[in-house]
Amino acid sequence: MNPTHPATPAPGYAELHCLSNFSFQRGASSAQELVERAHALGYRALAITDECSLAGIVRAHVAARDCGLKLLVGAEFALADGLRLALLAPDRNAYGDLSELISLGRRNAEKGDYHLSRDDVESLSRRLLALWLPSDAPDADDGRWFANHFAERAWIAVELVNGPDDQGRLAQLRWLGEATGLPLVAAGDVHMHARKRRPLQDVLTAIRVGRPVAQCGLALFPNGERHLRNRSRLARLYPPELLAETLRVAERCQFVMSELAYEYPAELVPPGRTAAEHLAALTQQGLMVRYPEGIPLRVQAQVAHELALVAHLRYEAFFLTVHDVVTFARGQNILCQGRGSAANSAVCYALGITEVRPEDGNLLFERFISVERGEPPDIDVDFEHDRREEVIQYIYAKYGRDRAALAATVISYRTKSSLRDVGRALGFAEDQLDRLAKNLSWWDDPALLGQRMVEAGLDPDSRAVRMLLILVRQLRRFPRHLSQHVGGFVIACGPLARLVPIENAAMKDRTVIQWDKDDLESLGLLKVDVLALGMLSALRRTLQMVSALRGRPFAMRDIPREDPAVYRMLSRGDSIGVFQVESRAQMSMLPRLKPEKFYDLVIEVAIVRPGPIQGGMVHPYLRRRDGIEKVEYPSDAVRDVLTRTLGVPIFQEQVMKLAEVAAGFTPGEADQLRRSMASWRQSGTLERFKQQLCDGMAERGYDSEYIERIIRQIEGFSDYGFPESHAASFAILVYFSAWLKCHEPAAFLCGLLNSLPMGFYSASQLIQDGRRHRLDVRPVDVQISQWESTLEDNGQPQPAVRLGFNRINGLGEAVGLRVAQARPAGGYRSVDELQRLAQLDKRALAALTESGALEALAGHRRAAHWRVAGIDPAHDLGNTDSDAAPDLLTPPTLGQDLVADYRSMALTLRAHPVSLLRERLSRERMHTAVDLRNRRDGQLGRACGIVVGRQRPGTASGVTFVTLEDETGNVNVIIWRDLADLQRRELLTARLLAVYGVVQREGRVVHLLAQRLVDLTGRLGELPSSSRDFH
Amino acid sequence: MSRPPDSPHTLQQAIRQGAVWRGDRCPPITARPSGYPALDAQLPGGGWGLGQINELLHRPGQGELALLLPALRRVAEEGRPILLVAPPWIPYAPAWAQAGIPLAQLVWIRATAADALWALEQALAEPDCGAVLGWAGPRLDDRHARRLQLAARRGGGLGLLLRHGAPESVASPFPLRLAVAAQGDGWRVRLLKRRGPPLSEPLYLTQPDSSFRPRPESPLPCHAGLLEFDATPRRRAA
Amino acid sequence: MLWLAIHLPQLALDIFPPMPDDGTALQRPRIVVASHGRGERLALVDALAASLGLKPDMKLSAALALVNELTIHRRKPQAEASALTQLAAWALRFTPTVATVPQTLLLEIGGCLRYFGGLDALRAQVEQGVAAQGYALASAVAPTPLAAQWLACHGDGATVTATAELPTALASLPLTVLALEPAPAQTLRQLGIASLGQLLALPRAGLGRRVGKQLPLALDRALGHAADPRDPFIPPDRFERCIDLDWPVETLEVFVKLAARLLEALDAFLSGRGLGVQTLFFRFTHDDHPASGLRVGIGRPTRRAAEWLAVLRERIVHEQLVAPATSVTLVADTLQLLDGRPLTLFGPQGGQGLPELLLARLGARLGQGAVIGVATVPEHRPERAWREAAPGTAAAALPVGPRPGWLLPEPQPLPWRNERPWHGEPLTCLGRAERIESGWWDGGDVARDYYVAQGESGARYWIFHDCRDGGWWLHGCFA
Repeated sequence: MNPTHPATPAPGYAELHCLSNFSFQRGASSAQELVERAHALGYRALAITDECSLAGIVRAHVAARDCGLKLLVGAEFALADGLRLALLAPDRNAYGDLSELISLGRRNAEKGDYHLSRDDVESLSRRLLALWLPSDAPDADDGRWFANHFAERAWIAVELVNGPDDQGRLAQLRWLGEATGLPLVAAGDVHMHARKRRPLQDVLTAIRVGRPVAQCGLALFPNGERHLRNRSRLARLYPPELLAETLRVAERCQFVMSELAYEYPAELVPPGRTAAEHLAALTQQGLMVRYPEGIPLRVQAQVAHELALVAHLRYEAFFLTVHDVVTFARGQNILCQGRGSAANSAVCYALGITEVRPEDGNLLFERFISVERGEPPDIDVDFEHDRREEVIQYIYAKYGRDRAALAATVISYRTKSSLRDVGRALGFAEDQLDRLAKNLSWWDDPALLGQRMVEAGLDPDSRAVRMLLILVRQLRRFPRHLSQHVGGFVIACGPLARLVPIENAAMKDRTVIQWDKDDLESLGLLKVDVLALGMLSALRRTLQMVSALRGRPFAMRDIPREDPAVYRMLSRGDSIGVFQVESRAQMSMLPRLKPEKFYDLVIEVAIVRPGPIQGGMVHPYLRRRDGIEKVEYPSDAVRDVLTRTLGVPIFQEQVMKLAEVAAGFTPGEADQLRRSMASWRQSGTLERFKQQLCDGMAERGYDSEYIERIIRQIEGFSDYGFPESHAASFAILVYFSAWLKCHEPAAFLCGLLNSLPMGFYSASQLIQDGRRHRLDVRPVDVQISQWESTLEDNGQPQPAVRLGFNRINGLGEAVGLRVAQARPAGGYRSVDELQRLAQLDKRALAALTESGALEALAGHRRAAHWRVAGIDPAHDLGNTDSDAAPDLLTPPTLGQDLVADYRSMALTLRAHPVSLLRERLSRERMHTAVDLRNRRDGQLGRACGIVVGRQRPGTASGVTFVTLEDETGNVNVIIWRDLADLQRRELLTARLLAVYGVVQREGRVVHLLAQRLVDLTGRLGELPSSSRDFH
Repeated sequence: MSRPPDSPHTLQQAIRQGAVWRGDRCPPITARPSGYPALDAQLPGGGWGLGQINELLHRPGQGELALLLPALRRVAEEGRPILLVAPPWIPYAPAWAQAGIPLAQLVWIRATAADALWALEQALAEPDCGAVLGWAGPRLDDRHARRLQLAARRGGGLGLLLRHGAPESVASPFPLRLAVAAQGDGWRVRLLKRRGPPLSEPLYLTQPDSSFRPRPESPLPCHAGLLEFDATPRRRAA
Repeated sequence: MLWLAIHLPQLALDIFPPMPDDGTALQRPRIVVASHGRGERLALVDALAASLGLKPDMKLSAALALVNELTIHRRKPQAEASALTQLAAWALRFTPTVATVPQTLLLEIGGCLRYFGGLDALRAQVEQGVAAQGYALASAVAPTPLAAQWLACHGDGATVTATAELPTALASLPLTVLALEPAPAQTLRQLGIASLGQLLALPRAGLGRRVGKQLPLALDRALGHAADPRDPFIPPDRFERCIDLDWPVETLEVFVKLAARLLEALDAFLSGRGLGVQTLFFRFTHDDHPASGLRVGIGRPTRRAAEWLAVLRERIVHEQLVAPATSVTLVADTLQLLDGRPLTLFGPQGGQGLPELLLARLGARLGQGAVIGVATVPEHRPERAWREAAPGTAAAALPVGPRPGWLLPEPQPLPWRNERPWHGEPLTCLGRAERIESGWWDGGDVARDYYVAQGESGARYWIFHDCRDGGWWLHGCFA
C-alpha cells in the first residue's frame, strides 16, 4: 500500500501473451511499437499472440529482427466450447500446426470470424506450447484437459492486472495448479505497448461493441494495466518463480520466421527435364514464332543472358508458372498482358507474356532482376476484366485450394474512417460527423483538421474535439480488416496452410492468406498477380469485330507498329477512349509531348503521375525535349542512367540506379530506398536515406544545387513513382488502343461500350466523341438491336454503331437476349407479340418503353407507354386492349424525350441538351466549346455546359478541374480554391453550369480560368446528371 | 415474481406467522429469523420481532447491515419492499445488489430529521412493507418513540431502528435493544433488553458470507470439480 | 353540401415551436428531416432554407454541404397527427361535420353558413383561428370534399360553389395535388399527363386498367359523380367536470369533500373502459381573483377515487386556496390504459410490488425526489456505478470486487498519521490494490488504487489512493 517501494532488482522476463493491432478492435498498439517497447524495457522475448491470426506476425518479425529482440510466434483463441488459451510455436513443425489450426478455425466461420472446438485443438496439439487463460471461475477439469493434451507443454497463465482481488486470484490459480499438475507462469494480457494508449484501447472496445465509449460500461477494461509493464513493477506483483518460468517457456521457443522457405509447384516441368531446360526449350519455341524470319542476334544474346540470370537465381519455376497461366488464357481466347519488373524481358516476350518487343526499348533485364538484391521477380498479368474469374478458377483447379490462395490486402484506417469511428465512439452526432467527413475529402491536409472543425461548427479547443483529433491521429493507419488482394496468388508446393493461415474472403469460394504483399516480400515469398483490366476486354471485343469486318482473324500482334497516323492523332490530344492517356491531365500533356515513337508513350504514361508532377520533373523534361533547355549530365555515370529521359529521372528504377551510381548505395540499400519511398511521409525512415544520399553525392563531387534537385525529385516519388517496366507494358496497350481508335473507330467505340464500366468516360461521352468523329450511332430498337452494341453496314467506310439493350437501365441481360432471339425475321408486329414471344414482364416492358426502343413498333414514348401499360402479362389475353387513346396523348417534346433518354440510358442520340438552350445562351453571349478553342490567351470567355466531370487531384493544390460538355465538345475549367469555397454550392450541385472567366492557352491546350459560376440547372428541367462526382 | 416460498397454507399457519391481523387482539409476537442460530436462540420468538421496533445501537461501519442481511434477503425473496428511511449515506446499489437484495424492492426515503420520523411512522404503519429501517441519533423523545412502536404494531412488518451514539442505559418503549460491535470476522452482540430474562454474556457471531464485509483472507472462490467452494462473481476479462 | 378545406402545407414544421426572435440573433434556416433508407432526407424547408437552395427530398448530407448553420428538426408524424386532431376538435365549434386527411382539415359548412354570417365571414373566421394557432394554411371551397382538398392543396384560394363548375376549376391543377402512390404517378408521368385536365380527358376504363381503379373513382368523387362518404371526426377522450357553488369554498377541508365527489365521477367515467389517469388538474374560479389551479400526480395510472383522495390529502398539506372558490373543475386531459394491472376488489395483492399509495403519500409530503430507488450502472468509476431511479426499477447485480454498502456522497480526504491513513483511528489496508482507471472521455478521468481498510475498532472502510495527486480518500463504509 505504501506508494514508495524499495528498489527491487529487475528480474528477467518474457511476455508470453500480447495482442497487436491485428487483433482488430482489441490491440491498441502496432507490432513495431510493442517490439520496440519490449526491447527498451529489457524483456528477454516477446510473444505476439493475436487472436486466431498471424496477420501481424511478419511485421513483428521484421521489427524484432531490426532491434534484436527474440520474437515468439503464437496466437490466442477463444474456443466455442468455452476455453481461452494462447498457443506458442517452439519449432517449424509446430508453427505449421499453428497455421493449420488458425486456417481451420477461420475456414469454419464467416469472414472475419473463427470457430474452433477442443477437438480441433486436440488434433493439432502435439507440438505446440499452450498457456491456459482461465476464466474467473475456472474448472479444474479444463486444466486436466490441458495436462492430457499438452503433456509437459502447458501452463496456467497468471495475469495479475490490479483487478478486484489479485491476491485471491493468485491463490486460486495456485490451488488450480496443484489440482491439475500444471505449472504457473506469469503473463500480462497485453493490449497496448504503453499505458497512455488506454483511451485508444477504450475507443477500440467501443467500436467493437458498437456503442459510444460513455455507454460501454463494463465492456471497457477497468484500468490501463494491460500494457508492457516495467520489470521492477512486475517483480512487485508476481512471485519470482512465475517470472522465471516465462524465461523457460521462451527458451523452448526456437522458431524464427525466416526459417520459412517456399517451394514451387513441381508439376510444370515434364519428367526427365530440369526446370531450366524446360524454360529454355519453351523460350526457344516462342522465339521461333515471334521471329519467323530469323531471330535477331541481339535478341538471341539477350535471351541467353536472361536465362543464365534466371537459372542463377533459381526462378525458373516462377516463369513457368506465369507461362502456364498465360497459355491457359490464350487457349480460352482471353486477352492478357504482363507487366512488372520481370515482365518486359526478352524471355517474357518469347513466352507470350508481353507484347513489348525487346528491340523496342533499351530495357535492361538487370534493372528488373538483380543478383545482388535477391529480390523476387515481379510479374503481374492483366486479363480481360470480365473473364479474369476463369483464370482464377483455372489456378484453383490446377493446384487445388489447399495450395493456391490470394494474398490479403490490409485495409487500414484512413483519416475519414478513423474520424467516423472515433467520432461515434466519442458520441459525436452523426450530422456533425457528416459535416466533418464532408469537409475532409481527400484533398485536405490532415494538418488542417483543426481549421475544418471550426468550419464544421465545432470548437477545436473543446476537450472532446481535442480528444477526437488525438485519437484520430492514433487510429489512422491501424489495420481495420483483411481484404483480398486484387489478384496476388501464392501457389505452394505443399499445403499452403502450413506456411500461412488461410481464411475465407468476402466473395464466395474465395480464400485469402493472412499476409499481404509486403509481408510476402519481407519473407522473400513469390506471388503471381492475376489482375483485371477493362481495356483488355474492350480490345478483345474490338479485335473480334475487326476480324469479322475484314473476314480474317486480326489479333494484337497483327497491329502495325509505329504508325505515324496514330502518333499524329495522339499529338492532337484526340485520345478519348484510349488506354491510360484519356484523362484530362494526359490529354493536355499529349499536345505538349507530341509523341513520335513507342518510347515517348512509355514516358507519357509515367510522367503524368503525382510523383513526377510533385517532384517537378515535368517541365524540365518538356523544355529539354523542346530544345529550350540544354540537356546536361553532371557525370558519365549519371548520363548512363538518365540519358533516355533527357537527364530527368522519371522512373522508379532510375531513382534506385541513381542512388547507386551517384551516391554509392549498395543494390540492397537502393531496394530499401524504393520500399521506404512508398511510405516516405508516414514513417520518416527516408530521413536516414536522405542524409545518406546527400553525403554520398557530395562525396562524389556533385554540386549542392544538383543534389537538392535530385532529392526533391526523389521526394516527389514518395507519392507514386512509376516503374519503367509497368510504363512499357501500359504503353503498348496505349499504342494498340490508339491504333484501333485511329483506324477502326466504329469497332473501337462498340468494343468500349460493351466493356463499360471502365476508363474515364461514360457511354454518353464516348458516343459524343464518336459522333464528333462522324460515326453513325443508331438508337436502341427492339426490331434490330442485340444485347450488346453491334456494327451495322451502312455502305460507308466506317459501319454504323447500333446501340444494344445493355445500355438500358433496369433491363436484365436474360431479357435483352430473349428480345433479340425471339424476334421474327420481319420484326415484331405489335407490342403484344413482343410481350408474348419474349415473355416480358411489366418491368421489362416498362424499361424497354422508357428507353424509346419501341418507337419503331409503337410510336412515340407516350403512345407506347399507353399500349404497354394496358397489357397484363399475368392474364395472357393478348389484344384485349382496344381502347386506343393516343389521340389524347400529345407527343413528347424534344426536351422531354431528351430527359427520358437520359433517365433510361444516361445518354441521348437526339440532340445535345445544351443545343436546345443554345438560342438563349447565344443571346447571353455564351461561347461554345469550339468558339472557346479559337480565343486568344487572356481573353474573356463564357461557357455553359453539362457538368461531366469534377476532379480535385491531390497534386494540384486546392484546384478543382471541372469539365463542361456542350454540343460542340468539352470545355476544361479551372477553379481556384478561393472561388470554390465562395461558390461551393454551384460547384457541388450544378448540373448545368455557366462559367465566366479568362481563357488560358498553351499551344493547343485551352482552359477556362473561372471567375464566376452560375448554376443554370433549372433550365434542364429534370435532366439527370451523368457526371462522375467526387462525393 | 413467483409465489413467496413460505406463504401460509392454512389459516392457523397464517395466524401463527402474523400474516393476518386479528382486529381486537394484540398480535402474538412473531419473529423473522436473523440467520444466526446463536442469536435467534436468544431472541424472543426466535428472531427479529415483527410488529415492533428492534433497536440496534452501533457505530456505523461496524457491519450492522451485514448482520441484518440474512433477514432482509428473506424479506426480499418474499417480494416485499425494504424501506430505508433517512440512512446516513448513499445505499450503494452495486453492493446491495451483490448482497442479493433485488434493487427493485429497495426504497430510499430522503428526509430531514423532522420529516424522517413522520416518514418512518408512515412506513412502519404500512402493512405492505416487508422491512423498514430507520436511523436515529442519540436523542429520541419518548413520545415519538411510542408513536413509532404503535405504528410498527399496526403495520406488523419488520421494523429496525439503528442508533448511533445512544446511551445504552436509557429506558425505551421498544421491546428489543441490542448493541453491536465489530469483532474479528464478525460481531460482538450484547442483548441490552428483551422480553424475558436479560442476557449478561455477549454473543459472538461470525459472518456467514462475505457480502458487505469483504474478507480478503477468505477461502478462494473456485469451481473445482469435486471440491465445492462458493463462487463470488468476479469481473470477467472481457 | 359545401366543403371548406384547410390545407396546412407547413404542418411538419409548424408543430415545432419557432425560435424566439429577439431581433438581433440571425435567424437560422429551419428544416424538417425524415429518415429515408439508411440516410435522412429533407421533408420540408422553411422560406429561408429554400432561398439557400435547400429543397424537399434532398439528402441531409447534401444540405449540410450547402448550409452549415441549420436548425434541424426530426419529423414527428405523431405530433403532426395530434396537431391535426387538436385543430379538428377546435373546428367542431363551426360545424358538426369535420373530417381530416393528412395535412388537411375538411369542414362541411353548407349547413352553418347562415349562422356565421355567410361564406366569406365563416371562412375568414376559420382561417384566422387556424393562423392564430400558429399554422400556415391555404383554403378552398368546393361542393365535394376531394375537390376542396385538391384546390386547397394547390393553394390559390379557389371558391367553387356549383358542381357544374368543377371540371373547369380542376382542369388546371397539377397532378401533385392528388398525392398519388409512386407507381401510378410514374405511369401518368410517362404518358405525359401533367394536369388534372389532361387526366380527366382520358377514358376512365382504360385509365383504370393502367393505374388501378382508385384513381378513376377519386376523379368521379371529386366531380360529384360518385358518393364520397366521410367518417366524421370524433373528439378524443378527456374528462372535465365542474361543480358550481352557491356558496364559495373557503377551506381545503370543504374542497376535499367536493373533490371526493368529482373523483367519484371520474372513477365512474373511467371504470369499464380500462382507463386511468396519472395527473389531475383542479381549476378554481374566484370572484375577485384570476382562476387558480392545483395539479396532482401519482406514480402510475389509476382510476380509484380512494387512492386519488389519499394522495390529494397529502398534496394539500402545504397548500391553501388563494381566495374563496366559486367553482371547482376537475380536468383529466390524458387518459391512460391501466397498464394491464388488474384492480382487485380488495386492492393490491399483498406482498406483491411496492406500496404505491404509501410512496405516493410520502412523495407528496416530502417532495418528488425524496422517495427513490437505486439502480446499478455498468461503469467502472464507483461514484458513477449507481444512479437514482424510480422506485421499483430493477437492475442487475454487477460483477465487481468488494463494494461497500454505504457510499459517501463525496470522497473525503484522509489525513496521514504515522505512515497510515487516519479516520478517527489508524487504518490498515487489507489485500492488494484494485486499480480503477477510467473516464477520460468525459473529463472525469480517475486513476485510483482502492483498498479495503480496517480500523482498530473493527470498522471497515473503502479507501483509495489517488495515483495522480498521491492523496488518500475515504469513499465508503462496509456496514
